[in-house]
Amino acid sequence: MQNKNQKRRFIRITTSFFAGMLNGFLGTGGGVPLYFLLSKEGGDKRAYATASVGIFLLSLQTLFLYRSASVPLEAVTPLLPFLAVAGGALGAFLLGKVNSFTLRLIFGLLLLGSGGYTVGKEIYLAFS
Amino acid sequence: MLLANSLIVFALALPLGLGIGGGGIFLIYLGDALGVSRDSSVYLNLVFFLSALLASAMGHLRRRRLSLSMLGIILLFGIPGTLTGRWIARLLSPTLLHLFLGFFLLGSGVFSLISLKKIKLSSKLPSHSLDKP
Repeated sequence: MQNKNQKRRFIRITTSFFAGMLNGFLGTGGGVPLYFLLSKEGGDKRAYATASVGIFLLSLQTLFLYRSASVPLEAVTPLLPFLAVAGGALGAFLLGKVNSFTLRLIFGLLLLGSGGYTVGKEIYLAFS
Repeated sequence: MLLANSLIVFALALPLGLGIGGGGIFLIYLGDALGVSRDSSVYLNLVFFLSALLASAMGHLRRRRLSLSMLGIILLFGIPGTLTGRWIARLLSPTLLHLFLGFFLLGSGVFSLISLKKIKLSSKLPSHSLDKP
């Protein structure tokens, strides 16, 4: 029993560290390993909420680490935070109200496309 | 360009609010389409990511649907993780970082599509909180 608890604690610690490392390394991500770990321990809604807030707080820390690279928001749009808040709030409002299957399918394909494009482009540039 | 950027910011924030994800794609857009340098892209992406998640994070905190003990562990060991990740990122070239990001997005895409299979198989019983009423 003690071994099982120790093993669980070790997995929690290493997963949290890895999620933080991913977040600091790439400037995004980390939520998936956390959610995966927490959902295995049970409580799907709780897992999602805890992973979500955890990554939010870790990203605050990462933002602090990248503060020296700050640029004016005009590089994208001066309304960046407001538009992001609006989009995120609408998404949160639609949660549970829309069939997420199609959205996940589109988004999964978009992720594959972006990832494939990025990897392909870097490999092409390396060999050209 | 400003209008296009605004629409993209809003559109990519939607899946974040829904819990599907989306931060990585904006990072690619900043670097490749807008030509923003790597570290500055990360900075802007984090501003975007945190803004998009603000509403859902506040909702979770308000509903107290959290495991506080686990949150404590995430912060206690996640923060040194972010420091380590940042340190490693400084050692690598932007090209290599871009490559890692590409593989990360590929992996996220594969994972996302695999999780669809679970949703499809258990279509009567929702397998994820996103599908629960």
